[in-house]
Amino acid sequence: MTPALAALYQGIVLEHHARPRNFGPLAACTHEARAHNPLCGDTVTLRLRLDAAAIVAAGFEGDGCALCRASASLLTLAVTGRTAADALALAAELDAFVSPGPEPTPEATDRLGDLRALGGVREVPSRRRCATLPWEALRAALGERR
Amino acid sequence: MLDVTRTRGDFPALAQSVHGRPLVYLDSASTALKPRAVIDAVSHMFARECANVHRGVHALSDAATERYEAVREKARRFLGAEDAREIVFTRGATEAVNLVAQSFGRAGVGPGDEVLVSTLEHHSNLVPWQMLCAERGATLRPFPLDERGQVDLSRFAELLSPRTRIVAISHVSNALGAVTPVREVTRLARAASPAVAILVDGAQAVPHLRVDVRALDCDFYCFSGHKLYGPTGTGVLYGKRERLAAMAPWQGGGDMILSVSFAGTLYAEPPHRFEAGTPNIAGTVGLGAAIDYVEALGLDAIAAHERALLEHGARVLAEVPGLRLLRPPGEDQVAILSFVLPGVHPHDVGTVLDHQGIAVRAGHHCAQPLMEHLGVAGTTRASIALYNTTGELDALAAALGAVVGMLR
Repeated sequence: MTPALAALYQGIVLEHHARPRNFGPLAACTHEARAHNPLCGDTVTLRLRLDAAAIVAAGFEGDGCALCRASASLLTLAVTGRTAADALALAAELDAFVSPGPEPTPEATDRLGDLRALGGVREVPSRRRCATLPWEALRAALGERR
Repeated sequence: MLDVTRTRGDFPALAQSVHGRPLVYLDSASTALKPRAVIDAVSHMFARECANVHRGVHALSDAATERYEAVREKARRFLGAEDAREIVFTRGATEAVNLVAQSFGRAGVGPGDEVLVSTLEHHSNLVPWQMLCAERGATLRPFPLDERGQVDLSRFAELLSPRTRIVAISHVSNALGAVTPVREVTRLARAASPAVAILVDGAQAVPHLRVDVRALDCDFYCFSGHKLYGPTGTGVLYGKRERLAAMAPWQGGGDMILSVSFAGTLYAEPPHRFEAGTPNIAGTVGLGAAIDYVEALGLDAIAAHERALLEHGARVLAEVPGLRLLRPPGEDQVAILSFVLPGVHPHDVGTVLDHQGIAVRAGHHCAQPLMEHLGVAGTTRASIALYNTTGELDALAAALGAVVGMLR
């Protein structure tokens, strides 16, 4: 396996691909959005339950590759317990982390926790959107204007 | 017999490594690699005969015009057309379909008329007809496939009526490699609707099988140069003379006119009526070199080589645990191995293969209705060209074994 490939399919990614968390319908969902990548046909439907401003539960469904599935699974864990504003801030940090540009600071990287496992797409432009697609759904679900 | 070792030497792109591995290029159905003869022909047009066509009074323009128009004759012979004036140069197959939809279609299709397209079409032979039907109040009807992904002729016949104005069909499916029964389709369509026009998209056919537009009895036939080892941005539309003669221009500009005044413009005769503006001169000359290249090797020799590879590929892929080939090779199959690995997404397959130097296509192949018919979101497609070898297909099968180990 090449180093780039090993960076792309890290243990955490493969584990979440094989055993995605919060996959399936979400009861009493208050926010929902679907993101679609016309290039590959992948879709992610993300559902959230908000209590006041806080995300108390998250779930996803859809058909996607290992990176997309792992990213969605990690997303549901990372945003649960955060406020909507905080979750959107995390989405922005993830975007910066996987996009070309200046290396993220160690502090910013630390804040991402397990989401750091998605960093392999930084070097593989054709797969970047696989990792960010669930986060597009998050933004849409929370009504962020971009 | 094709001497593949020698032929491979004609393709400079093959002599490189990708991710530290020798390139195994199995994505020629997306775009084929270019032989030195094509690269040199294009380069020559920029380095030497760099002039506009049909306009100049100087030597370079004469030379460029002669070379450009010579390609029309090559394309005529290549497709078995009667007259070089039946050959229109386009940017590719997509532009050719749009030309017919916009010119022939807008004048010839009205409210209540029907346009039939097969379910296996590439989006490029579907969306232009959808746009036309929406504009003209006509109905677009997909004609169904059987369980092998082949056109179902009896159900096709049931959809035909005197209202059928256009039938559009691929000669070879880009996602599966199925050779469609074009001759039967034209025969049935003409029997049901005397005025029908039949367009055949030959983008995936011309690199692999000999085409005779008169034997197929189609009104229009198109292909892209870049899938035939030629430059991108080149293509050919064949149209029967009486069809082209009755069609209005679709783009206005220089080179497509006889005379222009504010009172009115007289259009040039076909094919120039459909070639507004300065064309892709160097690219088209490159396409001519590609036709020469393929014909020098011989389409029969190419087809025999590719058939052997297809069958070898099917055998070695069958050894990969769980792999399902969507269409095992049969008589009506060319150059494409499309497969799914249960539990592994085609994009992951494509990425892992890429890191072993193997280029394939992954996804829906711009044929979403076909994917829906087959009940898959997408496939991995390994496509075969004249420069591929059995060793490369063995490398593919071995790498797929690693994919399964890693991702499932």
